[in-house]
Amino acid sequence: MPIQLIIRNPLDRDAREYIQRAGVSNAAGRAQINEFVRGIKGLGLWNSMVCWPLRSTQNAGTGTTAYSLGGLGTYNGTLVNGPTWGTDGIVFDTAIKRISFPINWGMGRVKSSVFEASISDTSGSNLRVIGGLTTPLFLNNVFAPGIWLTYAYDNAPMQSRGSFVQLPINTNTLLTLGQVSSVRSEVSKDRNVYAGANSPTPYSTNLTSVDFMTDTTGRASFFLVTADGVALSQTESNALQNLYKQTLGTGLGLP
Amino acid sequence: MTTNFEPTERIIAVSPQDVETLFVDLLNVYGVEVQDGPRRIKTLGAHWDDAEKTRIRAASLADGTITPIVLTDTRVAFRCLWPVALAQAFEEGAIEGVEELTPAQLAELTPQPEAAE
Repeated sequence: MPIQLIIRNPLDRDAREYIQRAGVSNAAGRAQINEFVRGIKGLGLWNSMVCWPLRSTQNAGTGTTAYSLGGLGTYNGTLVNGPTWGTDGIVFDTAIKRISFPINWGMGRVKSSVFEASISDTSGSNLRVIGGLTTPLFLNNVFAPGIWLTYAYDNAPMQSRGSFVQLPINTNTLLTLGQVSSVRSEVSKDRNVYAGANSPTPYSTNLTSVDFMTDTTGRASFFLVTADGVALSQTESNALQNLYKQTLGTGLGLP
Repeated sequence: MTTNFEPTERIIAVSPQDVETLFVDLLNVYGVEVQDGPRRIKTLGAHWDDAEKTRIRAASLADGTITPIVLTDTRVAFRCLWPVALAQAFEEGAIEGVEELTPAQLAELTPQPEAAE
């Protein structure tokens, strides 16, 4: 009787491509990547997103390249000035250390982002997501000229200084940022932070990358953007966050 | 692969005009080959690669994995691990035009980020 070969839960083709490109060798990491890619495709978001899994077992885990994963294309990030790879994500211990993501106009309109991070110092505890060479810009500014962002957190102002997001200390936090409408509005629910228009400023055309950094010490395990004009709805945001918690974010103790 | 490098970061400040020539000269004398992912790069600087500090990786101006920190006095600073021999030369003041800074001095000389309105 011939042996019947049964392959359970085979790797998704795109997951395999990423795993090979990034050199992911950890078995659990490979499985988590695979489940995440399948889930993203199930949500219909694969072709509109790119993300950077930053836990050492889910990316190269060594060197200065943070490989990207997503249907938008290849947008590998660069570790600049020495952030380190850790099992729970990239670790920052001074303000000069950052990851530079090549988010730019070539991706189409960037509308939403999701990230998981924590800040572990009590002084100057900002997480910064900064685009542009000299002017702090957040992602949404690239598609909506003249929009600064205001953030809210659990129905209270979180930080109103444009690109600065203040996180709760020593708490692993999964956040969605995005624009839900073109009018000035803020919606804050379930740790989703949406942006509204505020304090119009001149549009910058020199955006070639977005930097992710902390003022002092912190850690980040995941960064995702949707582009090509696709904004996450509240429902999609919740589904994506749940998917992350069940796959790439396993073990981070996310609420 | 950490034996050629000091385990602690040092910060040096130089004139931006001197960066290119100075580092090219120093690279010829003190350069060490260091891993960066699948690549090996001859470099003067390195960073810890993992949070546990068990291995180092190359830091290169050429590919932007180390960038100058612009100081308020117009100089630029670099913060990384350095080869032992070069660090010793810094300490002895043997490299003209280079001043070593403490983290506190660096903080004092670093412009504060602008807050968006």
